Amino acid sequence: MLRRERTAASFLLEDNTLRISGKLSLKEVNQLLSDIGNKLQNYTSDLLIINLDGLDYIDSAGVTAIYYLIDKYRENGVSVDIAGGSNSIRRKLELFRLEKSGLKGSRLKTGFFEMLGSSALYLFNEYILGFFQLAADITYWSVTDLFRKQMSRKGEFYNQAVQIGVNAVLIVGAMSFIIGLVLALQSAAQLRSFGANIYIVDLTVIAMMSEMGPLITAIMVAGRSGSSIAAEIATMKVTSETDALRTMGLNPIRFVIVPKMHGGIITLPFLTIIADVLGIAGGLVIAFTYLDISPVVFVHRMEECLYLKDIIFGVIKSVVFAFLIVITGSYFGFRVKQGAEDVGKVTTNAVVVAISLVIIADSIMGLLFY
Amino acid sequence: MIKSGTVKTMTSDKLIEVNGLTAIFDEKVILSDVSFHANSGEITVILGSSGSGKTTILKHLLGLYPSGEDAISVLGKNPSQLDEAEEKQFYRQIGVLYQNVALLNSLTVAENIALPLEQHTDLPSGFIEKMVRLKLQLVKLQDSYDMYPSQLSCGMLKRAALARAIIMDPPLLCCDEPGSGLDPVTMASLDELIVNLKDLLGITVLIVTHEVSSILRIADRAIFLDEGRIIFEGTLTEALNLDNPTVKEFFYKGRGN
Repeated sequence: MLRRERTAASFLLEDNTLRISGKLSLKEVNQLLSDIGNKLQNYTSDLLIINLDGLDYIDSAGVTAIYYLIDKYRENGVSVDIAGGSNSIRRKLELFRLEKSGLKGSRLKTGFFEMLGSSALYLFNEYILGFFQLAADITYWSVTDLFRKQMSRKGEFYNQAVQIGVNAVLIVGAMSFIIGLVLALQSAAQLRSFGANIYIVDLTVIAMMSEMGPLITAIMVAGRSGSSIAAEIATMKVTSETDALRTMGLNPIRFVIVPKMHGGIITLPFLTIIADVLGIAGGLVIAFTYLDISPVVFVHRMEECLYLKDIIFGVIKSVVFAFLIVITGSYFGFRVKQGAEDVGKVTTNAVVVAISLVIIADSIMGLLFY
Repeated sequence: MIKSGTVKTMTSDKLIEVNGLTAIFDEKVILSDVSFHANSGEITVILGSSGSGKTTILKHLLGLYPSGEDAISVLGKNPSQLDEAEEKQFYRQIGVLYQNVALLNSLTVAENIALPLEQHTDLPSGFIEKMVRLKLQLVKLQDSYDMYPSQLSCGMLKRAALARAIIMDPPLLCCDEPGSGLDPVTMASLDELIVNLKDLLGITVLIVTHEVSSILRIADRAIFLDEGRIIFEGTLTEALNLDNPTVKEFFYKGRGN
């Protein structure tokens, strides 16, 4: 029976009866539905009988098509009945009948204001409250773990300090040097035009010390370590490693995040100072080559325009930035819900938000310390 | 042999034929000279203990591993030697339930199941939705339409994956360990569904498993694999009456004795 050649589905409309015959499977369904739709466009009677006597094969798509037709014409006020059909076809019509309850969407319709309110509440709870709760948790454990036995693996703080800080020295140093160079280069032409060559020193030193140094370092570290923190925690969560830690009696925040926080807060100020020095060195090179200011004069002038206050503010900023980067990375890492794609998404979000927060915090501190 | 690009569904009673298939990975022989066939319209079960090469056979049958010219014929074709058009046609006719489910995590259950229909047909979206809801109803997952795979339990994932495998009403359904992670009641209802699909749509089913209770319920033919060799091929009744210690032990222990 199975190998018998079957002709494709066809239909015939006689008075109130729609006779469907041949083979009705997934392949034929689309054509048949559109043909019947065209033929019955101006169907006026209030009764339609679908006769399946001529049908010799139907699959689940075919059955769905029959019910699809029934629903369609019932909606238009036509009463539709099925007639005929072999035993096997009847059984399939029964097996593949879609229960009405299954048709209802599982989501209830909500009003505009209800939707607005619930989204606002969701936003507040999920993002703002969640962020501050995690920040409070991490801060608490980061401080208390300083004074008691830590809950991380031995040497983890050292590892993190190397990963976040030491491994970033080269890239942060190189970037600062180049930015110092470019900053001085762009200013050199302007300063030379009204003979204020010596102020290149003030410009480079103040800009690097109080703004560019901490900012460049924080942005580089947010890109390097913020993303890796988010990806690491997200992957741990997706693969249930955080659950495993918890059920072993280990707090994931203390075990995973606190060493990163300590590593970041210790190393970022040093990285910032390296960035400051190399940025100023970049300015010095331009001052010497374009404006004929010798290194001796440059350093002498630097002593006059550099205040301890600027250095300290730069270091304080970098500590705040480290705190923000680690918390943002962790927060987005913990937000992961499912699968590989989500890990990628939260990692991107972590970097974008970390850099934004760093810049916002920088401008707020700039206003406070001015 | 069919020469055109189309794959004919029923070339013979033997929908799957394997002749002398040998598989060697890293100098380790996984399959050695394996030959068997699966009749169309029957449920064939490949059974054997873990590491006997069951999944490797399935991967060869699905064309995921290359095989020699005449070693394998599935739906009249060697699955590892298809051109692009043939490949598309071939895979439209096969539904696969993977052991580790393999649903796309970034899509909802409904989107996962609708994916083959959306990619291979021009059906209206309302129709596709009905098909998806029907298949979800068949596997008793009506309420999981909008959920993401991560929100489902192991057994529910298995059922969702089965719904995806049968969405195109394929003439050949391959299941890799369909029973693992399922409770006995769900497993029995899945077995019933597979038998129903076989009886009503005449589909051929190939199941790789070691769940004895499931084998006893649904298998028409059994192929017993031991360390990469076939030690038995025949009907289930013959297998149960076989006087081979390995096969005997498998059924005896599998029944929970």
